[in-house]
Amino acid sequence: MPEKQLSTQEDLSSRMGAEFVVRLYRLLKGTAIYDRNNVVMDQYAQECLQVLNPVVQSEDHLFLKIVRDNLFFNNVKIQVRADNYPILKAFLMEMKKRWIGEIEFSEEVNKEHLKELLFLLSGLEENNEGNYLYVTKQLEYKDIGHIHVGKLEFFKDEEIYIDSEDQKRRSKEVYFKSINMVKEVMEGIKSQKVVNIRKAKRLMQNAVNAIMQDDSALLGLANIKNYDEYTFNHSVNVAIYAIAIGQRIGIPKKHLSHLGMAGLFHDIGKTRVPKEILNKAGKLNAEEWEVIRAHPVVGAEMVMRMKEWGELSTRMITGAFEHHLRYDLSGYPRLTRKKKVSLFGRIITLADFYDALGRPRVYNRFPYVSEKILGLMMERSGKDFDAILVKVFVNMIGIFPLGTLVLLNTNEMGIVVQIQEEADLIDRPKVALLFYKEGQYRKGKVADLTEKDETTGEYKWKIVKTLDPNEYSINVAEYLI
Amino acid sequence: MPEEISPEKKSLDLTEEMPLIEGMDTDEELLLARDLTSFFLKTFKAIRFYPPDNPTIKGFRDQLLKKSQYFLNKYNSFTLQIGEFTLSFKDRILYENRDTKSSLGFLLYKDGLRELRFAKGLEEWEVQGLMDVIRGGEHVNQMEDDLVTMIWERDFVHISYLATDEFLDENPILIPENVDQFRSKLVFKPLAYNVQVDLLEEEEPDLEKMLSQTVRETPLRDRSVYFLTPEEVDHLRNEVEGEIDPAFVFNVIDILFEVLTLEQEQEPYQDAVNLLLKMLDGLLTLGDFQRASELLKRLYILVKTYELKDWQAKAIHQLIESGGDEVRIERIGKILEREAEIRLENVNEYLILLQQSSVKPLIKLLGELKNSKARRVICDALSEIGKNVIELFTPFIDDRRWYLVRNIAYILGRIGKEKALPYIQKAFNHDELRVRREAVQALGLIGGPKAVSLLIKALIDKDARIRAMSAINLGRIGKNVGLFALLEVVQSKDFQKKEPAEMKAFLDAIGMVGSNEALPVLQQMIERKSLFGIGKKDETRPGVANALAMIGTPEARAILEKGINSKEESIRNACQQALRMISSRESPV
Repeated sequence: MPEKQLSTQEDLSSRMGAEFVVRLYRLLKGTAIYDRNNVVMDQYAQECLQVLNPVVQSEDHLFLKIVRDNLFFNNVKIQVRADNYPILKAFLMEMKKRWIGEIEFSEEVNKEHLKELLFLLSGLEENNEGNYLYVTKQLEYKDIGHIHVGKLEFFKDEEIYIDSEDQKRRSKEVYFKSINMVKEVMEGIKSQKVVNIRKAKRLMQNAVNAIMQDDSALLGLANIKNYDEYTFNHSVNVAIYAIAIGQRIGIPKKHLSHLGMAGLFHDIGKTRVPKEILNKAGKLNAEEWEVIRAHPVVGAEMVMRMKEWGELSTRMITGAFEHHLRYDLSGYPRLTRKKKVSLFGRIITLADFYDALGRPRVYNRFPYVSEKILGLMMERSGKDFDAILVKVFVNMIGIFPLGTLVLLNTNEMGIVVQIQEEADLIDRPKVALLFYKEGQYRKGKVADLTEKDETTGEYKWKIVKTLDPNEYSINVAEYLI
Repeated sequence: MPEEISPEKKSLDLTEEMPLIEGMDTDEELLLARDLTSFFLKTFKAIRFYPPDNPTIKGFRDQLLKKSQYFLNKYNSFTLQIGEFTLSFKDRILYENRDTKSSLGFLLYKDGLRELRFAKGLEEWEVQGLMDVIRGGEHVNQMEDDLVTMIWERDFVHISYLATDEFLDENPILIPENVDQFRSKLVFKPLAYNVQVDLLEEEEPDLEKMLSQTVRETPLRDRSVYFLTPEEVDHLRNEVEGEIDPAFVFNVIDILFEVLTLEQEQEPYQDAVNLLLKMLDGLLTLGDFQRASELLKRLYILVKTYELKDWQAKAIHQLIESGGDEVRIERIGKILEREAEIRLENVNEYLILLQQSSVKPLIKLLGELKNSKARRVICDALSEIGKNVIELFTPFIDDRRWYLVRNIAYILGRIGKEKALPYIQKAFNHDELRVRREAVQALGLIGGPKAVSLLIKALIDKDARIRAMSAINLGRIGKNVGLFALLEVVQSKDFQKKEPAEMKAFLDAIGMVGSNEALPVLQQMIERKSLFGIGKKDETRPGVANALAMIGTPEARAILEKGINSKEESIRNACQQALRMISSRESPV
């Protein structure tokens, strides 16, 4: 038994839990904008109570608990879905930042008490392990005995989940080790060595862990396009994009690592393409194209030989075989019988396309900024790509993806370094402002584009347009490592 | 399959050397941790000793869960530190075993595990899962898996771990700490042509143009374009569920068939064939005969549709043959014996796709299988695939297992070849009545003069059912020579003494032949007065009238029409009933 399977009842609890968290998060965010007596806050609290009190009535309590990167609602794990992912993630981050790991309601709650709790939580300082004691005392003082909060439980090494710098360091380690590992494997295959899949699996597990905690670090690193040989670098990027899409649509952990492995080795067939064809910068003739276009089949065959048949090899064979098929099967190889491209295959196709087109101009004939690539993907969705997955991808990557060079209305130039989780704020990422000194652009402070001017109530910054980093000789990856 | 227990493993020694720790007596937490660790080790020993389905294992699991929960309810968490050969709690060594083969410490340590942590709320499935992982961890392929991966994939809620994977790196890897280090590894060379355009089908794609158009038309600023509807979210959820279903592994079949149509190199072709065989094995093990049949059918289509090279055709043919070789037929037998839910029509669908080489293993299975319905399915399949190789069946007519001889007679009958008659005759002379009866049925199916003469002889057999079955089979064959023998019997004095079922069989058989030659005898039988009393005569008349109706010729009908005017009520009734049968047959509703 890989993961615990959900019963129908548990599935219902999971959905209920997700709904509760969405409403609770809205209320939490409201505390930063509205006054306690504002009618909007009353409405948000009321919406929360519509879920909360019936659950307390029927199940005697409502218990929300964080275990690593999962939320549990009355001991049932809340399942991630494409629509609730951003909110669940954002709520988790808010709680983790404050070291709050449990909230329990042991009796029905009224609006005022609920608002009291949320204002208390929102006012907590970040990274203070004792926060839960403070909230408990305050609740006791206000005679609210039926709401309990508990500390976030971490084992010592898991504290890195909170420290973003540490998270970044870990992600970097995963990223560069993965590039090295792909290189090792691919070169090993060429020299007919036995391939060590175990190491790749462990790395992909670490990649999944890192992405589940916070995908921004690895997605940022995926802006690196020309580190070591192209194929190795590209393969790691594809794996990262694929895992990140996969977790958004609720693919379980174990399968995410398989998806990562399939992404990592989707181009394995290229190791059999003669170097003079593979690296030829000039136009390829028909025969050469034929060799190139055989790589999905060759790749599938190589996985067959490399690995015992099982769940993982199925993913890897499928990833290698299907990544040029296209959604409407108009790609290659040409099939003799119609088949549906697998979900993992469709995800890898998207990731492959996005990364391959996003290489900087210096090394590439065609300069594409992400906005253009995303536009092209939208245009070709339903034909080359699964239209729903393209939407998920755009939601994930943002309309100004990590690493996008932007011009702000303040005439400042910056690089997008973090995407907002909420869909409403998709066009208001965090941007590292750039300044020019001693012949090169340097990274300055980070501007949160959701910030408003207190006096005018207007947003402080706005993106005016995206810029082509090549025109400014900027390698965005350097600002994201 | 139960694990084999080696002689030296005959009894389980659960004692474990737990070192004494100074001050432990006064530290309750340490005492409990030691007790829990000790039980963990005992469970580990039991896992190694007993097969997984042994009830003792369940006992260990329940106890371990209980002990863990007791500890966790008291102290919230339990962290077991893993040294190369040791297990410790709060830096106090609780266990040490330097034997790399038997040390639990070493087993966990070698894959990089450094801590195992248990948190309050631990559940049964997690303890069971961990036990399964440890059991599996001893037998993994070190190039593919390890304990860390196995624990990670379980995604436990209340069990976590600390692991290192440094040892996996043979050489130190540069993780760029600054821009200069990063730049040192950047590759500045023009990208290969194939990388630029292999995402697009067009040979000469003008991406520049396409993208400049795209950017003008990009709809990204309009949020509704990438807003997911609830239906789309549900659709995705369903897709995820479908894709993570363990049966998904069989989706590779489609890919393998594509490979078989594209590949021209012998080695990879054979790899695909080998993998297909594994898929077939998987399907058979699961009892999914429907998909297994589809797989075989696709292989036949491949052979028929494509111009295969000799070695390709040979590989496919071998694959098909393997689908019904001895090993697989044995496996199928086990499934048929074990699984009551299997749809036998699917099994039949699979078996009839097998080659003649499967005849022998199938006969072997037939001699062993207890499930009678499944035996029938195998017989039917053998009748189909063994059509041209009856010599493979005939030796078994002398088998000491009567039920097998009976099945062979059944199969030979279904195949219907006259050269099987000497063997059927042997079966007819068998000691076991059930074999003899089957032989009679087989004779009827084979037909021909020799079969008819054997059936005629059987009309006076000492067994009433054999007599009746012979009669029916003669009727089915429909030859006049058989008819005369039947008429002879029905005219004999003893006929009226027979049981009604046998009499009916004889009269039906005469009706089945459908010849006017029988009319004088039948007319006489229906009209003559009984020599043996009213009752018996009345019982025969409906049967005779029925036979006349079955013959159905104008002459037979005339006899019945005459009968409806008879003075005798029983004649009238029998004839009326028979005429009604004719008219309902002529004008079916």
